[in-house]
Parts: sequence; structure tokens; C-alpha cells
Amino acid sequence: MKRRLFIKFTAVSGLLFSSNLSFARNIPSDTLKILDEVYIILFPKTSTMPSAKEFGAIEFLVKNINHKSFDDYDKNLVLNGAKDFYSSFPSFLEISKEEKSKIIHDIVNTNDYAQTWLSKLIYYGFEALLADPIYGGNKKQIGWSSVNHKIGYPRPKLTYGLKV
Amino acid sequence: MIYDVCVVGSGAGAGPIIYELAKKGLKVCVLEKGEAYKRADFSKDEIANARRDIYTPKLEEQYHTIEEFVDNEWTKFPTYETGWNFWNGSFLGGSSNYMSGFFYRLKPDDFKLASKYKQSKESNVVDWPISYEDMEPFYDRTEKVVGVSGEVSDYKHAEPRSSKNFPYKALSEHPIVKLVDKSFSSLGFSIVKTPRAILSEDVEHRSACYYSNYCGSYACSSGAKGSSREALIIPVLKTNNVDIIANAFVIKLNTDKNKKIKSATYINKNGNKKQIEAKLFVVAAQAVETSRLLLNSKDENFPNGVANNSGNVGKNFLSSSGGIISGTFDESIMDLKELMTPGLFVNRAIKDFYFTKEFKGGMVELVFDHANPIRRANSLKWEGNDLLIGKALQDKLHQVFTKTKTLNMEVFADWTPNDNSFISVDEKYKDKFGVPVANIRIGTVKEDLEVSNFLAKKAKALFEKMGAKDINSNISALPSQNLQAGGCRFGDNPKTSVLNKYCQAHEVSNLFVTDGSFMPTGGSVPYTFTIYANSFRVAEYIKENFEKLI
Repeated sequence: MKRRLFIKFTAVSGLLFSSNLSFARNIPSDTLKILDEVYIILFPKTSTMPSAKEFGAIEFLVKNINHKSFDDYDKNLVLNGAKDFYSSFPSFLEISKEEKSKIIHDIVNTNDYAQTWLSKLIYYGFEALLADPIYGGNKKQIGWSSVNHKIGYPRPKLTYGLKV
Repeated sequence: MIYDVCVVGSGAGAGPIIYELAKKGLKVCVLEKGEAYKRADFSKDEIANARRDIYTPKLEEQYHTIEEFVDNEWTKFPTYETGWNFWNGSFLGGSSNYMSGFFYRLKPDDFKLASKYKQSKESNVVDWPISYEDMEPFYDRTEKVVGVSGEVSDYKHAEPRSSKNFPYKALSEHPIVKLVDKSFSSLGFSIVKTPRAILSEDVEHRSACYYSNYCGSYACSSGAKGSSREALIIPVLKTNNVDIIANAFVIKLNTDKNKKIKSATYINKNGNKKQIEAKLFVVAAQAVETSRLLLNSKDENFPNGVANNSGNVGKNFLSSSGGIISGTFDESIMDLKELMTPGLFVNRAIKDFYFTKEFKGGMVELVFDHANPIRRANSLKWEGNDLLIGKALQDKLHQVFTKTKTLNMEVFADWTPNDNSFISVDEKYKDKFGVPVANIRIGTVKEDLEVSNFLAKKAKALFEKMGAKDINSNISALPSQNLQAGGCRFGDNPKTSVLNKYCQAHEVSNLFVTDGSFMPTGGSVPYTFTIYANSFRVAEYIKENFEKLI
């Protein structure tokens, strides 16, 4: 895919990033902050579904993105997309929640690179929501219970099919 | 040590050979490319089983090339670029671990399509060198040894059986079958109930199906599914006649001055080359990899690959034409609680059009979408060309998961063998070990797609009668990567076939091939049952003639 930078928007000052993500040593902190904020917009809390923060989208990504089975192209897209997004919207972390949401909604279906990147983030959001909690997401099975998913047994004792 | 028999692979084509020859007292060595997992190692983990390359090689390291006709030329696309994965379970038991287990026999006329039906001018269809009557005792044996549960259906194209019933009672059915059967009757379709290689009761070390809701694409955690590992390999381990070497990727068969196979060279887990010697070799690595191994086994006796002085190895590759029609059901059609019942089987098929007066038809199998929630969620993120995000995405997810269920109709039509459907190797494309990978050219004839579309119309009519919503049709001429056959077809003429009617190589007397490679035509059903049955047939021949063969 030919890479294009995101469309620039005017920066507006706003909220400070407040999540505690000090556990994530394998992803640059600015990248992580961007991903965390974008995930909140992609998966907001609703009357029936948990938010990305509740089901652990970022925790899942941090725990799994460096595993040897994680697709290299996807890994680069997720991380470089966040970096490129930040360089296109350098004040993104300071603006209001509404303004952040507007930016994402404005670019998602008007910019190819943005759509590809966000689509990949949604995919890994689904993994975080619906994979076994052993992978770090789906906290307390909140993803499965929110969609009434019937769990398959036995559940994994170890990740990635390791021999018991 | 020189083994009596060395078997390359451990799936459906290998299992009956291992089972029968070890029981006879022959010393059998099994070279399995992947791990030797035990039942306790398996779980219903979607990430490990369906979202990552865990039970198959990583495509960047080991891949295939798929050759498609694009812009008026045949072009090879490496699967690490496209993600189209043609590996199907690289571990003990092979892809039989992953099957959904619907077990249909071929029918008598499937063995003589060339004589019975007008063929496309591009067709390479030939009659089989054996008849249904030759194969029937071994279908029967497979039903008993591997274990098939079901109820025999009486319909126009039903094939003759030597045993009146299946050995095990039918598995429990989902409540939707009431609606299915009513709609079948309205349309004048015969109600055909699906036999499955899944035990409905405990048998020796295997426990009955517990309806996990995660069957196809997952290895079984009760042993109910009739994988080669559970049904055939585990039972003969106690004979002490079987040595399984796991993580043994066979890269070459080596011949001696008598043009017989003397040894197999494999790469072990540490990347070191090793050799195994045996008196007789059986290759069952799944059709694509079997042709690859033979083509890569070049020496002074066989400069174009072992058993390939006739130039036939790799030719006439088969898959299944067809595709999937899906329909959505909700509480406006049937009680929601009943609809959402997990795990139970639909076990119905449309088989009235398996043959028509004018052409060879096919069948349609009814099966619920696999449970995999990540895959299902990912299919919901688009609305046309727009990506859904935020509340709209969350609402759709909740609505679809909690209020609807998707039923699929899988269309199976014959794949007509032709000059542009074959396996080859190309020195330009090598895996991480430096071994040329298999190239799969996937040319089809237009008549196959026409048959699929004909069957899809029947499926759509059934969905409409059932009141299904959002009926979507995805019919194509592309192959199903898990349905592979052909490439070493059997026949009486050594100039036009690789194997004789006992699946012994015409050119190499101590080499047999027992996966789906032998099939000149594949029928309009999954191949596993026929591969099992044929492997039992070949095992009997080897058992009775072993001393003469070596």
C-alpha cells in the first residue's frame, strides 16, 4: 500500500493523558498513548458493550505484539500508523474528547491510510475483546459475557498452543 | 536400523497403513513434519487454532505459490504475500484433526465419470481403475474402525451398503432441523442425514462427543472425532511396532541402483539432516506436499523426480469447486433460545442433484458458522465500503451476536482435472531450508462453476423457504485449500498415471502413495472418507504381499 500521511487538523489544547501504562516497555510511550486514546473512540462504553479500557485493548496489544506469531506487517502497521497519526495531529493528546472523536470520525472513511490503520486496530480490538483472557484482554470474560458468547471447553492452560 | 515400513505423514492417508501394518507385526517408522501433541494439549483457543500460524508453519518461512491466470498470463503469488494458507494441520494426525467429519462415500458412478457423462473439451477426466464394489468393503471397515455415527438415508442416489446401519447412533441435532426438514419437504427435496466420523458414545480410549461448539478447525478434546491420531495411531502404540519421529520434515527420497527407495532424508527440529532406511515407503503428506516431495527427489535414476520418468507427477491436481451461501436467522423465524442452542449438529444435506440427466451435479451441506467469535466480529466491521467505529460498531456487534445465528450451505461440485491444474516446483521459490516449495496452478473449466451456480440456486431456494434473511452467495472457481487430491493419479497405464491400482508407483516397486493424490476425480464430497477407505485397501494389499514387494 502506498503510504500517505493523515490529513492535518488544527490543534486545540485539552485534556492530559492520564492512563497508567508504565508496564509497556516494548512500545514507545507516545505511541502507546495514541493507541490508548484511539481505542477509546473505536470501542466506547455503551449500554450493552464494555469500553476498550474495560476489556483491555492496550494490555492485550502490549502482551502479544512482540510474539513471534504476530504478523510482521500488522505490527508495523499498528505502530507506524500511530507514529504517523501523531505527527499529523501533534496536539491530539491535548485536545478534548469530542475533538479527538471528531478527528477519527472525519478521517476513518476519507483517508485510505487512516482506514487501513484503524481497521487493523479494530481487528486487534476484537482479539482483545473475544480471545481467552489468558492473552491479557477480555478481562473477567467481559467480552464473552457482553455478547452472550458460549465458551468452548477446555479453555487453554497456556498461550499459543504450548504443550501442557 | 532398517524399518520394514517408513510412512511419510500421519493423517488420513497414513493412519490405516500404520494401524494395519503395525498390527501385523511390521516395524513402522512414522515421519511427521510437525509436533506429536497429546489430547490434553488441545483447547478451544481461537488465537492458537485459527488466528495465528501455530499448528501450521509460519508462511514467511514455509509457503506455497499459487499460480493464477492474471492479465493473460499465469502468475505465481507466494502465500506469505496473500495470506492464502494451504497448510492444514502440521502435527500428528494431520488435517484429520481439524475436519468437521461429515463422511459421505463416493457413489458407483463417481468411479466412471468419463464413461457416464459428457466432459468439457478441456477435461482430463478418466474412469478409475477400480469400481465402487472394490472400495465398498473398505468404506465399511472405515465406518467401524474410525467410527461413524449416523442414520442411513434412503434417497434416489443413495449408494449400496454392505452394512445396513452405521455402527454408532446419530449425533444430537439442533432444533433448526425441524424447520429444515419442513422446508425440504415443501421443495420436494429428500431429507438426507449427515453421517459423521464423530463418536456418539464412548469407545475404548475415546469418549463420546460433548458438543463443544468448537469442532471444525479444532482438534478434539474428547477423542470423539475420528482423527488418524485418535482412531488409528494411538491404538497401535501399545504394539511397540511404531516409532513416531515428530518434527521430521522429509525433503528427499533416495533411490538405489535397483531404482527402489532406500532411504528418506529429513530435517529435524534442530535443522539437521537425518536419514531413515526402510524396506518399503508409503508417502501420505497430503496431495500438494506429496507431489512436491516426489518432484524434489531427483537423482540419476529419476532426473525429474522420483517415480516421474513418465512426467505425470503433479498433474491433474484436484480441489473442490463451489463456495458458500449464508443466511441469517433470528427470533422472527424461530424461538431465540432454541436458535442459540450451541454445539449441536444440523446434519442435513441436499443430495438430490448429485447426478442429473444432463451433467454431473454435486451436493450442498448445511452447517452453522463456526463459533469463532473473533472471526465473526471482524466480518461485521464494514458497512459497504465504510469502516464502522464507536457506538455504531459496538451496537452492531451486540445485535448480531445476541440476536442472530448464521447458517451456511457449503456447495461441493466436482473439480474437473485439466492441463492447468497441477503441482510443480520452481527453483526460484524456496523455503527457509532451501527446499523448492510447491507451486499450485489452479486453472478450472467453466462448466465446474456452472454446476456450482446450479447448486447454489437450490440452496437459495431452501433459504428462502426457511425465511432466512441477508442471504449471501459466495460461489467461485477457486479451490478450497483444505480439499486437496490428485497429482499422482492411479491407473493401469504407466504412461498416463503415476500409481497402479494398488497405489504402488509404476516406476518404483517399494513406493506407495496413500493420501488423496491417487484420485483421478474427487467426487462432490470431502475426500477424507475415501482417503481413509483407500488407505485401508492399500494396507490390505501390502499386508498380503509384503515379502514380494520388498
